[in-house]
Amino acid sequence: MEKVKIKLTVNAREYELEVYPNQRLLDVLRENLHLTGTKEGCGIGECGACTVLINGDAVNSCLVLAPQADGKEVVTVEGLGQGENLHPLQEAFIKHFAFQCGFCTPGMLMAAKALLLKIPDPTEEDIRKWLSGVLCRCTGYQQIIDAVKEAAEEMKKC
Amino acid sequence: MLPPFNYFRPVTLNEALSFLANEASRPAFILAGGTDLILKMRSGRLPQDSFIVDISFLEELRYLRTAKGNLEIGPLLSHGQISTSREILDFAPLLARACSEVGTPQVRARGTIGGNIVHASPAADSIPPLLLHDARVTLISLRSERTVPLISFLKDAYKSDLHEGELLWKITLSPLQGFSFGYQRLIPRQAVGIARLIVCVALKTKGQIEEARIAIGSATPVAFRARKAEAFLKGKEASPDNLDFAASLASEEMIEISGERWSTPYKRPVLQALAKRALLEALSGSRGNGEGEN
Repeated sequence: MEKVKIKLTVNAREYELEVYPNQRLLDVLRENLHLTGTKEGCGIGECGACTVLINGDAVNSCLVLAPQADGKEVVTVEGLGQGENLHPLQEAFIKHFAFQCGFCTPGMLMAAKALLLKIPDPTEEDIRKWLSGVLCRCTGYQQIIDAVKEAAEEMKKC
Repeated sequence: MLPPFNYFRPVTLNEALSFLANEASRPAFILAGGTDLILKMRSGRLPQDSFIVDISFLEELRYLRTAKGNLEIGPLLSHGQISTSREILDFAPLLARACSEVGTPQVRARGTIGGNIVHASPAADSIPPLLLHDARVTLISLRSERTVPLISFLKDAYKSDLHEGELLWKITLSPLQGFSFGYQRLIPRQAVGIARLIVCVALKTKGQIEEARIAIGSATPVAFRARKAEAFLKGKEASPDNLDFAASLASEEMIEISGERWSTPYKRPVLQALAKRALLEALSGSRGNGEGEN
């Protein structure tokens, strides 16, 4: 199997990589770039733990071949905050204790980020719909929804 | 990592068609959004020497335009794009609505309408609304082009009539001017689920019913138009009795296709009820709530 050259931006940094076509974007993020914040849950696009942004859309990185990310702008949970400064979503998740085991959290955060990019002032219904692609097996959904609501309000103030 | 395969990414449509023209010599699979194909690749069900032809970079297949009053949709438009497109919300509100029901926001951002059609799942959400618009599909290969009704392109469950060397090139919808719409979709929970039954209705009324179109998905191997119910309603008053009878005809048409099965005692009354609801919704002048959320 021949390697494929790709150029992509991950968390505002440009990379030129040689990848195997059977690597998924998820594999490249975790294994080539060591960005292990993105988690593999089901691997079949159902649990959303591997959610990242591609050109602003939330996608399952387990359902994207690495070569398909060529030329794209990818944001992972590591790119959400800036250095030591957490993103308002992350602050709100901590405040509301919006996680138990934490495995779904990166996916939840990125799905919420995609929502706030499109709808800065979401209703609870919007939040539920946009988070519907990420499963929390600890079932702590209410705290997560509360956290997203508060983060949206905080971000309006900025 | 997925099991190994050969990867080919054409830069132009012509390059893709040239590659596929030699398809007979090696197994080739077309990758668009990947939300179905990558699952198949992952499960190891593709032959080892398969070529994955990645058409996801072909901008020539990503378009939306009107021509002679019809709407032409490029196969690479995603469910997310379709469900939020102002043009589609106006021209085919039930298609926008149906695409907003597919999977999750993540799946809608990647999955394409072309993939939904060619994959030919009995539960494909985009197909029943397309049938209301008498959709045609245009298939293109290196040496030929053909246009066929969508209904005849769908041969069986998970079996579309895509010939060797062909790509889906265009989906053409006729307008439904002056129609109102009804949409009912049954899933095992409130959201994020594969449809068990889908009913799409378009009605044109002027005192009485001038024309009714009813498309039913997820009930049979291939979605269908309930022609007997449509014919019955033509020229009738929209009385409760007439709607009930039309809904029962639609349900019987499902059973004529699928035969009496273990699920029939459940599906017969449920489809009938959904059809009646969709008819009532259309009669109320609804646009089918076609506002997609993503």
